[in-house]
Parts: sequence; C-alpha cells; structure tokens
Amino acid sequence: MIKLFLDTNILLSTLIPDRKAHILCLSILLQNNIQLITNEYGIKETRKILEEIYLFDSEDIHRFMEFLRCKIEVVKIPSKEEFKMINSKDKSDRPIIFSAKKYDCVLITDDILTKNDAKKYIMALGSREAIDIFNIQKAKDTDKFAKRKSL
Amino acid sequence: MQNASVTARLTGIEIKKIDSLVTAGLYTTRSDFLRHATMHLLREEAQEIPELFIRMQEQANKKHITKDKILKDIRSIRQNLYRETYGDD
Repeated sequence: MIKLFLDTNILLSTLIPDRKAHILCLSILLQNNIQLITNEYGIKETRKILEEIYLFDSEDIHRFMEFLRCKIEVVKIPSKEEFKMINSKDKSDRPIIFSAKKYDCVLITDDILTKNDAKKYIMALGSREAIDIFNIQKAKDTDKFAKRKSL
Repeated sequence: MQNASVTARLTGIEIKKIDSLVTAGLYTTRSDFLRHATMHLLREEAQEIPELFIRMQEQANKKHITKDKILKDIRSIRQNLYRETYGDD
C-alpha cells in the first residue's frame, strides 16, 4: 500500500495565495485514497513558521493544526541514533528523510535539495509529480475564494 | 436515502475506546458512533475548513508569502529546530 510522507513545505503551501501551488498541495491533503504521514518535526516546523515568522492569528493556527492532525498520521521524531545512516547536504533534513524511509513512504516535497538527497534512499516526488503519478483529483477553489480573489 | 456500508481499518486502541463509549451507553453500536463521528467531521469540514483556508490565504496574501519564501523560511526554521532537538554536531 502506498503511503505519502508530506514535507513541511507541502503542508504550508496549502495556505499560499498562488493558486497553482495551493491547489496541488491542497489536493494531496484532501484526497482520501492514499494514507498521509508526517512526523512531529514537520508539525513543529509548521507551527513555528505560522506563529513566529508569519504571525498568523493564533485561533486560525490552532484550527489549521487540528485539521492537519485529522488528515495526516503524525509519527514520532526519530532519535539521532536512528538517522545517523542518512547522508544529506543539509543535516537538518535527516529526520524527515529517515521517517519517510522508516514508514516505507514516498516523500512528497517541493524542496529540490531535500528531494534529491531523499532519492538516495526512497522515492521522492514534488507535488505536481505526485498528482500525476498517483492520479490525484485536483481540488477546486471555492467560488467564494475565487470571487474574493477577483475583487 | 438508503444506507450503505463501508469498511474502515481502525487500531485496537481506537476500537477499545469506541467500545467503551458504546458500553457506557453514549452510542448504541460501533456503527452509531462512526455515523456521529462522520456527521461531526463533515459538518466541520463543510462549513469551517473552507472559511479557514480563505481567511489564512487572505492573510498570506497580505504578508506576501510565496512558495519560494516558504521554502527559504522552512530551511532556516529546520536548521534551528535541528539544533534545538539534536544539538550542534
């Protein structure tokens, strides 16, 4: 059974106004046919970025994180001992690559550096590739959002 | 509309929790619990989630958050988090 491990950039890209990137990542998140996994590391990054860098409304952050936890199975952060066999250009990618490998997942990331390093161990795809390969139906913008964007 | 059955795989812990709620009389059967849970989530997603995304996208638009910015910011947060979690080496 195919499982997708979602990197943090996929989770956060569901919120950006760039319609193309938003739709691709949201479609992966909203589909119900393939199991989605991330780890606590990715969840912590998501929360930190929304809270500390982008300063989103705290109630919205809370709801968004709840939504993610409904959609995605969140696994534990690996220990340093566990991921020491992973070599990556940026060592901070190792917990993500290792967890994707440990849980036998395809890593979905739009970060080229992470993707290329992950490919040494597992299958790694960008959001666009994942949509095409796994035949994921694209989500649609709500009429309301499309209307607001046109204003 | 006629009901249809679906198969769902749950963990042993989840099933135990559902069974204890059924035993406590909060739901008549496991199916009854799952119907309530489904209705609750569908109601939430149908009304709140699109509004949440619209609101957050509007905020992201005002803050000029782009895909490239997200990738850059994650890289920096990831390096800090790695140091906090695993130390410097």
